Amino acid sequence: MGDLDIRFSGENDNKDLNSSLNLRLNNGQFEEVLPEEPKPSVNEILNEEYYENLLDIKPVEAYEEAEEDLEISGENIGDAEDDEILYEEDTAEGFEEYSEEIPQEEDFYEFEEDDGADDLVEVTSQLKEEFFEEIEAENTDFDEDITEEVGASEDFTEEVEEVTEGISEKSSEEEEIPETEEEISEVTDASEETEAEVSAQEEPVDWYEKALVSGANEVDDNPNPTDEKLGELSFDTQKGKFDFVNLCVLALMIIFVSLTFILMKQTLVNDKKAELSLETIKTGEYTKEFSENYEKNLPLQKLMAQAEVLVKKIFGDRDVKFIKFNDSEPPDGPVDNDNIGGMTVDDEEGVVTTASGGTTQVTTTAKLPQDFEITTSSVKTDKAPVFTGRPIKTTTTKVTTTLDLPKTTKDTTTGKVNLIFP
Amino acid sequence: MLYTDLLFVFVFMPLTVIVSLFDRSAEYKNLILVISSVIFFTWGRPAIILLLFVTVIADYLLGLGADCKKRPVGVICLIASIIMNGGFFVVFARNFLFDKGGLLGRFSQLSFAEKLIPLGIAYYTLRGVGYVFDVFRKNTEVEKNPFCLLTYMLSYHFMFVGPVVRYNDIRKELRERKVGFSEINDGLTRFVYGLGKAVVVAPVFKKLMEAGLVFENLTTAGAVFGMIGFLGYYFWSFWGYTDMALGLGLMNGFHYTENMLPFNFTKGLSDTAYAFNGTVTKRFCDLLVYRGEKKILYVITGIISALFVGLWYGFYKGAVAGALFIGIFVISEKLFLKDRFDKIPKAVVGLYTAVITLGGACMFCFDAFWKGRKWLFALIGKADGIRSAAVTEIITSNWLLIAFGIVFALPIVREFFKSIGEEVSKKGGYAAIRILQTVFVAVVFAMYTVLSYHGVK
Repeated sequence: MGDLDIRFSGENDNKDLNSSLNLRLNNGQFEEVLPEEPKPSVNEILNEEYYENLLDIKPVEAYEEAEEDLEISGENIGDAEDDEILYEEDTAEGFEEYSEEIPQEEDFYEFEEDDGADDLVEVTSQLKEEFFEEIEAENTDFDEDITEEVGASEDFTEEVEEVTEGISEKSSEEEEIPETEEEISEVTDASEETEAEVSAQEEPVDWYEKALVSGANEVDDNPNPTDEKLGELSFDTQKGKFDFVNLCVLALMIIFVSLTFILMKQTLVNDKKAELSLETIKTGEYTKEFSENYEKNLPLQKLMAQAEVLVKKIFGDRDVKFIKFNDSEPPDGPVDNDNIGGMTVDDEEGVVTTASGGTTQVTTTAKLPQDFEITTSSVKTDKAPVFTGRPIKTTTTKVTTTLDLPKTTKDTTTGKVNLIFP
Repeated sequence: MLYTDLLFVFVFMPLTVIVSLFDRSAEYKNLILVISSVIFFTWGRPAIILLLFVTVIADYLLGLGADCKKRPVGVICLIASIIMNGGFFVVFARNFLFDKGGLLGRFSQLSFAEKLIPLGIAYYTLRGVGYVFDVFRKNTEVEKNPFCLLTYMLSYHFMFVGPVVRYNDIRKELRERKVGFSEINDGLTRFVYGLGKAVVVAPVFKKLMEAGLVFENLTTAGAVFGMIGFLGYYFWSFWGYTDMALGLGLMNGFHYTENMLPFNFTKGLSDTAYAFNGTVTKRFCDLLVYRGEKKILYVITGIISALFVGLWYGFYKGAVAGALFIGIFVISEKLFLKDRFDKIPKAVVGLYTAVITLGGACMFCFDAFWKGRKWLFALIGKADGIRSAAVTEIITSNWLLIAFGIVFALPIVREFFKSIGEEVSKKGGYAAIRILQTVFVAVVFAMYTVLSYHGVK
């Protein structure tokens, strides 16, 4: 007796067309040999069909075991209501245990936010709708289905699906639970016995029973792909939660600062020079002034100053001021406040009075090195005054520099810089 | 307006992100992006600079022409695009050439005030040429919807330091993109990291550079630490602004090309050359380098490409010299050395690459040859002194951030910490790692706020 394997493969419109037919000769007639249902592949696990299958299969297996146990015990069999109750108790527990690993309704909403999960959500929601429609349709004849179909099932898979759906419906309806609790108490002995027998199984029959018993996330030496994928799903859910927290923190910071700036700004209007008009917008004056005013009039100055001190204590003072010569040619004047005679003075404070070809005076507050000292003043040659304790050569001879800065060991020195342009 | 402005971070960016979420269609998001880009570019500047963006129409038409089946028409359109965008680049991005006494001083009427020059014009013109070139070379389909091209050209996301996004890379996203919780979270986090790099770390290196590289009084310590400051400042600035650009793109549903890749010296110079602002270098290579069998053509076009890269970065001797220096070694490597690298220990290859890369990068620092010469002499002790009080002051005041900046600029260190994080996550410490990450991002964001707040006072 041999098998006849007929396969077809082809391609049409860029779609693979594959089919196969496996026939077995039995008593002179061909019987179709149905392929064994393969374990889910990695991709299938993320597929929506997998969720559907899980929802269908798992509780049924638990129910089946409970049924067998009851048959073994020889008690409380034959009563449809008792069957239902036992079924509910056992499978509900299995379902709860299992449902910790499958996505819950709130997880769907999280997935909805994830990239690539939208399709899954759509398909899953459709499946859920179909699922509940079927349940409603079958719920009326649920008791009969249980007694009839379980006892004399020829097409086991279909019956099991229906039963499972009914059970899922039952277990999910909270309002029915109080009713069944009373009934459960009537069959407590039987159910406890059943539970004990179920839990006494040392070797789970297959992978998902093992997952039910030991937990899907438990580390296994030979993890099956489903465990791994369930773990990944769990990881994605966890990642989503932390992403959410991360975004919330940053968003709240932005909202807090933005609102604070908006609510506490009071001087913005008073500082306005450019009125809002098409002309000032075209020239950019209004927006430029808007930016300047916005930043100049920020509230919480004391708080920010304290925060700045804290930052400086931890990370150092990034605003150390030093005076140095740069390599640019001295301007003809009037000079730029930031570029006086080819000398850069960082962050001046005070008013600079400038005259073309005349004398420039600037009052500078600068944090200088503690070894700062004046070794030269009123220099007329190419030797420039020393700010760092060493003579500095300058490439230009056109600038006569007069400096008057007191010798100090303090961090902050206030003095005058007089630059005379010949 | 800059990415680092408080007004941008706390008002402009949140508003544009929120408004763009009102509708899921890409057309609506494109419209919001174009409007916000117009506001961004004209903020504090005359609205007339928007006239520059009419070149989008020209690039659109030239792109249609470049797609023409008649090759001469395509060539003409490509040349026209190069001339137009190149001209705008010189006039706007190198406007100082038209100053009196400048190289093009005779055309001083083209000298504009700085406020009339749009931000990121160099990247804008490079995108324009790149689009027409890609259409001509069939690297991308010609865009028949001018609004999509307008969105691509005008987007303020990648105006500062790139990346130079190719049209084909975002073509699909211009028509259909999704912005969800995940994109906004990733984008905002990356944007904040960019802020930290550009506002917290980079300025410290700038201070170090200014304190050290005083060529009238160059000490040995100043030469060494000043150059570290120069390299650190540009590295962290580019990295920070690139992160901000990619973060802004993510929040708008775009996935832009990475611009700053972890450099691996052991892979040789040709890989390392693409690590820093790599999209710009690759773009020039695509545009100019000959890919055929004739080696002599490859050498000539390679040198021309390096020359243009240097001129694009800066119109001064140091930039040109640095780009040519690295370019010549890259060409040599591709022609002769690459095959021999397999026989040489990786450490030697890494050392060779590091020396050449740093040598070339240092050249970008000098705008005159005498400065480079003086710097080299200072390195070997022939300087105006050994130590620099200003450098000492900067280092002692900011040693933590400087150390952080140097250590975390090295890819091997980043990889090390990343692997530790993954290891801890696997062993059940995922929650702790994520909480730490969130705390770190929040601290960086708070530091940016405090330091920027102070900076404007």
